[in-house]
Amino acid sequence: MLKYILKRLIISLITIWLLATVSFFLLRSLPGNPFQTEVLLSAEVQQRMISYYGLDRPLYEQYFTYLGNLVQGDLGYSLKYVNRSVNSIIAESFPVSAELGLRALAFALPIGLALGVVAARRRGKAADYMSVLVAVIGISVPSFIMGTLLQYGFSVKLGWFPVAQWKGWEYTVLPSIAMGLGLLATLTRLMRASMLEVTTQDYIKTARAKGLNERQIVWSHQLRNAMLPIVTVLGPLVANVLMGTFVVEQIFAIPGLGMHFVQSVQSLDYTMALGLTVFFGAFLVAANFIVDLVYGVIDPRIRVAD
Amino acid sequence: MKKGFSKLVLALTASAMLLSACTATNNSSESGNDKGSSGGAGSKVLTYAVNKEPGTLDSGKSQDDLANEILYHISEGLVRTYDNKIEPGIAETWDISDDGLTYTFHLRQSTWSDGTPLTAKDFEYSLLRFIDPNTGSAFVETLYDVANAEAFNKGEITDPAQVGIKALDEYTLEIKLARPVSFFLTVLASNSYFYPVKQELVEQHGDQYAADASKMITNGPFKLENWVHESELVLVKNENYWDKDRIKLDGITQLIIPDANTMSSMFDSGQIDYIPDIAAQLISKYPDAKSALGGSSQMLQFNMDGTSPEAGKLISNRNFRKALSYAIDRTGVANAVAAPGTQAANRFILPTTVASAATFHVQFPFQGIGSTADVDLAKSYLNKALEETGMTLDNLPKLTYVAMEGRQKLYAEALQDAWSTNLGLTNIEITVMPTPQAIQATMNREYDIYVQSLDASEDASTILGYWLANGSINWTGWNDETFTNMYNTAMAQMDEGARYSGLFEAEKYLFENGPLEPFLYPGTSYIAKDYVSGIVRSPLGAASQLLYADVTK
Repeated sequence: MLKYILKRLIISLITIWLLATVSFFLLRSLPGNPFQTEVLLSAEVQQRMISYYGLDRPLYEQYFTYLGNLVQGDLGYSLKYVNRSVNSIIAESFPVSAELGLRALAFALPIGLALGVVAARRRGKAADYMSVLVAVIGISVPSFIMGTLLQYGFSVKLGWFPVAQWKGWEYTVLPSIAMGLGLLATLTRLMRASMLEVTTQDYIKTARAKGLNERQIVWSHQLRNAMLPIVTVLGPLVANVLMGTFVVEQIFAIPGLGMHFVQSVQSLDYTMALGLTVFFGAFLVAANFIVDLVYGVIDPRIRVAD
Repeated sequence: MKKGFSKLVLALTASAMLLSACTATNNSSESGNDKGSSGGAGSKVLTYAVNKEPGTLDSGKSQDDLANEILYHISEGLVRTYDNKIEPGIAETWDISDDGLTYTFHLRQSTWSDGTPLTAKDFEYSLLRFIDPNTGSAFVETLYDVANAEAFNKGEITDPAQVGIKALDEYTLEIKLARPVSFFLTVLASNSYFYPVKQELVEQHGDQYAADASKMITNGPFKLENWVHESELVLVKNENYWDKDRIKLDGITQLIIPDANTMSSMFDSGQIDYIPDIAAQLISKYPDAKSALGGSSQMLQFNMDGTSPEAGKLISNRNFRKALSYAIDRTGVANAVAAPGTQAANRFILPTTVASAATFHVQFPFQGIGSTADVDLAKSYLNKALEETGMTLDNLPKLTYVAMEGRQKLYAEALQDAWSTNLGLTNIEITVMPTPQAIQATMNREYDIYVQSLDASEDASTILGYWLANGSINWTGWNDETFTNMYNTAMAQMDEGARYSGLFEAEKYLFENGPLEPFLYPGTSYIAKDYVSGIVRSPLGAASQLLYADVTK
């Protein structure tokens, strides 16, 4: 097991290095420079800013400097928020995005899975149709519409929740739901399909033949096997959700990471865009790693050998 | 292992419940802080919202209007601009030598917000830091008129003592110019780069100076009490400000609300008192909204060499450019796709620009181009152009219109439509790019048509000076000696009236021959609650000037 973990760790590091390298060169190959803003700077001043930030040195040299800093965990200073380091921006914004994501998950995961199970157990009945309806709505209504509707209904009209911002518990309810509905729908659909697939398996028949009661069959045999595909998607899903979403954060004015992902690339804030990519990449790799370990807990058949 | 699975399910459920129950967020302390500073019965706090975070509050490095607006309220320079006028700031009085080269500022006794004295040395340090090549300030060219400033900034001289900025004693600052600039006070007053920074804090925090409220000390009517990045900036009245009795507000809270609909909902439900820039799609909700010009001028910019020789031949034809220009319904575009409050531009110099006797427009009237389309005139210009170039309407070369994402794209679509409807031109293709790429394309001259937006509020010469032969952002291929001479001759006039009338001649020449056509004067529409008074909007300095605003609920 230890050997496996070690091996995976090395692979993870290589993945992150590859990601950082490819993103570095791709970003730098984009036309334009970060000092071309709507308030125009003359070509001469642009050039001076470029050399002030060392962006005129040979690319490979900059790359090695960047890697060197990266190894020490230093992501550099943003070129747009000039006095703030990328580390500090992530340290401030990520907890907000992560909290929002966790709340959305906390809302979506139990309900989504429960709905999926109920739908599969009551296949073709009213409960099934209800869950499918929820799933279809959740998937097809984009979060910017859901967010706006929730905001309008519950904040503007009813006044139950604040319209926007992120300053306490009551501020988190609507954005969590807006973000969670899509997740909930995805999980419901996946769980339903997965449960149905398992129903026809031989071991379920065997369990029935053994005379196990329905509860035992569902809990110990069906659910457990049906969880596998869920756990598979859960890794990247969780990583994605915790990293922030541009749309929901924008509607509810939440100071999360989502906006930085979009803005940094558009404005060619090299350090920021790279820092975020590497951070997200590392997070995703870690999430997948955890998923692989969890597999073993759920299904001894794929437990990794020593 | 069965138990293991049940445990996992249990753990998942438990963690889910825990999370939904966990109420204390780390922000709750901040909201408490918020109440602490702005609560209190009868305290007057003006809360308003903008859609983005300022890039930096280090005044030397600041680049955007948002930073300018915050710094305007928390800092004070030698002179300040209020309501489009220059007022004394930390400098109580000043003398200007007869040759217009030496400015001597007599500073009042004032302090930083922490109560420590603010002296001429602080200004000397701050201005020298701004032009120091090791600082990384972007807009250093604004101070190039100061003696030796350019050489120092370019590293040609390294001794700051040679630069014409000197503290003569504790409360006297002398600035020597390399050439007379009659609007130098306006330059000093309307830019955020010239506010004093506290040396001690700059040296203590280095690259992180002004990254947070605790990492800066300023000297303005307000001070920055709290800054939650991407969320809010809390300003409170500075009790150490020399003129604090004139300040009625106890504080200003600026929220960062990126979404226009959200901002509007917050205004409607009373969570904010003022929207400084109403989005176009929401303007119909606010019939009482007022509007103001923003201090910049937008124009159609043409690349005289074109993206191809054929394109160059067409675009460098004056009649063709006039045809494009007259085919545009500027007022229609302003109303349909521009920010509310935007006006059609008939000439280059802004209506708000002041000349020697009155506003420039009043003193030097000039009807450049109509606000609505003149299709017949446009067609006759087009026919002349076709004749002169020997081209026909159905085999015109492809012209590339480079536009940035966002509003510029909407302009491009409206203009393309006008040109095809009114002139039958189908050869103009729009290329939409993110901001840096679009600017790169104009710098590389890989465009035929572009909408340029330039800040033009300081002086009539600002907007004209960009287009001198080989000017620093003149990426049009139009290097006209006559225009350059007209401009330089005008600027050499010591008499202001003569200088402005010379500039007027240059403006007319540019209009007749230049690679530009006036397009729009961008504006903004704003609305405040009835209980808010004293909001001043100005094209000079910060867009929203809330210094003497009041809230009477």
